[in-house]
Amino acid sequence: MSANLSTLRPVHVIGAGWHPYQNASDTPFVTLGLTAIRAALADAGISWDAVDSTYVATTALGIGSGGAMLRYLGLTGKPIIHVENASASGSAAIRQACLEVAAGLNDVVLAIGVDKVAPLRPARNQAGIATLADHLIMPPTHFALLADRYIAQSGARPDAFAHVAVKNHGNAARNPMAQRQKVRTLDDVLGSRPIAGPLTALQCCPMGEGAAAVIIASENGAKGLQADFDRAIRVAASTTITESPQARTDADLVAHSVAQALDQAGRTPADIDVAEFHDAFSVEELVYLEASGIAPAGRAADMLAEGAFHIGGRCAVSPSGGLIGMGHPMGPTGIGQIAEIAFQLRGEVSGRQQPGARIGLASMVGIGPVGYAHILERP
Amino acid sequence: MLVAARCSVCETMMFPPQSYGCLSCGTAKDGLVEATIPATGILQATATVHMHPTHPVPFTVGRIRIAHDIMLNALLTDAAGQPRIGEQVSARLNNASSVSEDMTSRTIYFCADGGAP
Repeated sequence: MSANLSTLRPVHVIGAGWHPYQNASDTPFVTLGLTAIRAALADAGISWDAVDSTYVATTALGIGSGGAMLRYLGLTGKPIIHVENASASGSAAIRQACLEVAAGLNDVVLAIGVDKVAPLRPARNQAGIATLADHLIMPPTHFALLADRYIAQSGARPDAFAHVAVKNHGNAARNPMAQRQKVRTLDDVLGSRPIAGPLTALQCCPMGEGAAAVIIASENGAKGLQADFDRAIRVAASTTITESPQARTDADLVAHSVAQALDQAGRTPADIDVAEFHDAFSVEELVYLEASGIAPAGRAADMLAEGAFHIGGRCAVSPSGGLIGMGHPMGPTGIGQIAEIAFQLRGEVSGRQQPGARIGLASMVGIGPVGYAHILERP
Repeated sequence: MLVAARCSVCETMMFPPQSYGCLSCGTAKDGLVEATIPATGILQATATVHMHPTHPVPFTVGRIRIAHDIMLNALLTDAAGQPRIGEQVSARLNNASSVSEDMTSRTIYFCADGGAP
C-alpha cells in the first residue's frame, strides 16, 4: 500500500479556531473545547450538524472527554474518536481527519484538541525496566543534552538558543491566542531561572491549558455546504513515523517525516514560507530547522541572527510564538500549528503576517517517540 | 561490566536488559539471554540539572555511547576531573556517603577514565 494525500482525493482546511492557551485555571475543559469548535465552525461558515465525525486529541482529561463536550453542540449521533500521541496528539488527530476525508469515507471532519494541566506520566517509566538514570531525565534535560551535542557539533555559542526564545516570545506577544504575552530581551531570557544545561525557564515551554480546532473537508463537501471555499487551504502532505534503527533521535524523526512530506507534496525546503516546529525547548528549533533542510547543517543559529526566521524573513518560523511563546497544552498543540499556518497562508493574520506566505510546514515530535509532518498550500 | 540482554536469534545487544522482546526482531523471553557489556563508553553530551522534582540539584547527567552503538543516560561525577565530550568514561559504583533518599547504595556514576574508583 502506498496511498497518501498526493494520491487520494484532495483535502482542505476550511475552518480553524482556538480557545486562547493560558495558565491553569478553573475553566472547565468543556468551555475550552466548545469555544475553539464554535470559532472553527464560524470561520468555515458551517453548522455543527454538517460535521460527519470528530477526532479529539487529549492527554490529561480522563476517559470519554469528547462526548462530555460535544453533546452541548447538539446530539447528532456522529462518531467521536479520541487520539493520544503525546506532544503529537493534535497532529495525529489532524492526520486521521485528513485520511478519513481523503479516503472518501466522509466529507467534513473535525479535529479538536483540548487539555488541562496535569502531571506528565510517560508510560515508558512504568514498563518495569530499571535504567541507570533515565528516570532522572525530565524533558528539559533530554533537550539540554541535545543542546550540548549541538554546541559540540556546530560550534554554536551557548546563547544561540536564547535568541530563538527572544524571537518566539516576541511573536507570541502579538498573538492574542498565546499563553505568553510579553516581549523578552536576551538578558531576560538568559537571566531567567536555570533549568538544565544552557536552557533557562524562558527557553522552555510553559505548562498550560487551552483548545484548538480545525475542520477538514473535501471540495465537494465544502461547496455542498456553501462554505467559503475561496479561503480553503490544501493539506498537500501528511506523514508520520516512529522510532527505527534509521531514526533514533528527535532530529532523525523530524528529518525523515519532513523529507517524506516534502516528497509527497512535490516541494523542497526552499519552498517553505512559514513553519511551526516542536520548539518546546529553544534548542529544538535550531536542530529541526537543520533536520528539515530549511537551514544547512550548522547554519541555523547564524541564519536566525541574520533574521531569516523572523516574520518578514526567508521563512517565518514559529510565527504563532511556537510552543515556547504560544504554549504547549499537549492535545491542542499540533492542531493549533495547522490553524496558525492556515491563517498565515490565507493572509489573514493581524500584526504578525508573513508576507506572501503560500506554503507552510507543521512538524511535530512526541514521546514514543513519534514524528509528524504536514504541508499546507494556498491554491 | 554492565548487565545487558542479547537476542539469541539476531544477536542484537540491548541495554537496559529486559525480557519483553528483542528491539530488532521481536524474539521474546527465553530467546533473550543475559550478557555483559563493558561499562565504558564515549561521552556524547552532558547537562547539569538545576531543577528536579525529587532528586537533589544540581547534578550532572551524560549521554554515553557504549559498545554495540548503544546510547545510555547516566549520572556523571567529576571525581576524576570534568569529563568532556569525546572522552572515554567508565562506570563506578558510588560510595554510600552521598546517597539520597531515592537512590540506592548501588547507584552507578560514570567518570573520566583513569579516575579512582
